[in-house]
Amino acid sequence: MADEEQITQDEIDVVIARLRAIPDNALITIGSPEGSLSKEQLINEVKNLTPLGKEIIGMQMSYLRSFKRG
Amino acid sequence: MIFILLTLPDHDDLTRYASAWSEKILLDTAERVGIKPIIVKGKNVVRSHITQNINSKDPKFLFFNGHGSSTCIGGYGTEKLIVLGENDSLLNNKIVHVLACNAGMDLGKNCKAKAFIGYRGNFWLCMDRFSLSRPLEDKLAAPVMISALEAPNQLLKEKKPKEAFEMSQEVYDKWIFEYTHSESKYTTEELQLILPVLFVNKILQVLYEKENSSTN
Repeated sequence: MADEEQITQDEIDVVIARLRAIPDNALITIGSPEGSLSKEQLINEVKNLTPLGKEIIGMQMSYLRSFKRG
Repeated sequence: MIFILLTLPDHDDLTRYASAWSEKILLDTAERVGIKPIIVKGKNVVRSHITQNINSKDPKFLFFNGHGSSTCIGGYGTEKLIVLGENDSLLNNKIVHVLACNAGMDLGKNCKAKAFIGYRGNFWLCMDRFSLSRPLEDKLAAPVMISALEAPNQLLKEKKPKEAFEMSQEVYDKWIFEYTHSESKYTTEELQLILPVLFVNKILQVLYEKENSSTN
């Protein structure tokens, strides 16, 4: 959903800030080999720009951009 | 007798949730409208069982839960049930719903299903770690599962694929609008989790159909 070259540090920071705000009991999965990820694991995936981390950034940014488009 | 084939793998959180919610929503509807379900569950969700059931019972609807890729629908574990160019003819002239990542890309576009509803990217699911053993009571997962399963549920109610797809999109929109603009039972933190998931699943949901397709 997001190409590495398109991901800016601002986007990484925004996504991490948003993930920090989700409940501690939250899990997210896409059925990837990583399994269901906790809040801290999601943040680590984003920080480390893993393939899953890039997917998470793409997902969050796609949602945020929808507001810009109205 | 009209048959529906429903796969219910349960080897990880995503498949357990999708299967539990499918069983609850779709089997109720199938029973009410007189459609006979062929349920393939757990470790039985393998290619041989699917093939045999499709060939022998000729179900009109094929509803798959599991994992996927752009060219494949998965079953239990790493089992590949349907692979584009290998056995996708099993989908020919069927009404197909796939609750899995990515199968709405090449497979959905190129197979010869009468209609194919799926996702052209990841299917995201959010959950509450304290509800993992009770998927139907997980309030973080509920709006995601209900929105996604609206499409197959409406297909069972004899809605045309396009109508079923649009109704599913409307349910996604309804939750998104409601949670964005009004007070809800969810906290701000929970909505921060749920809303992006709903939004992305909605825009990645796709429908391919042959012209003049209907459920009749």
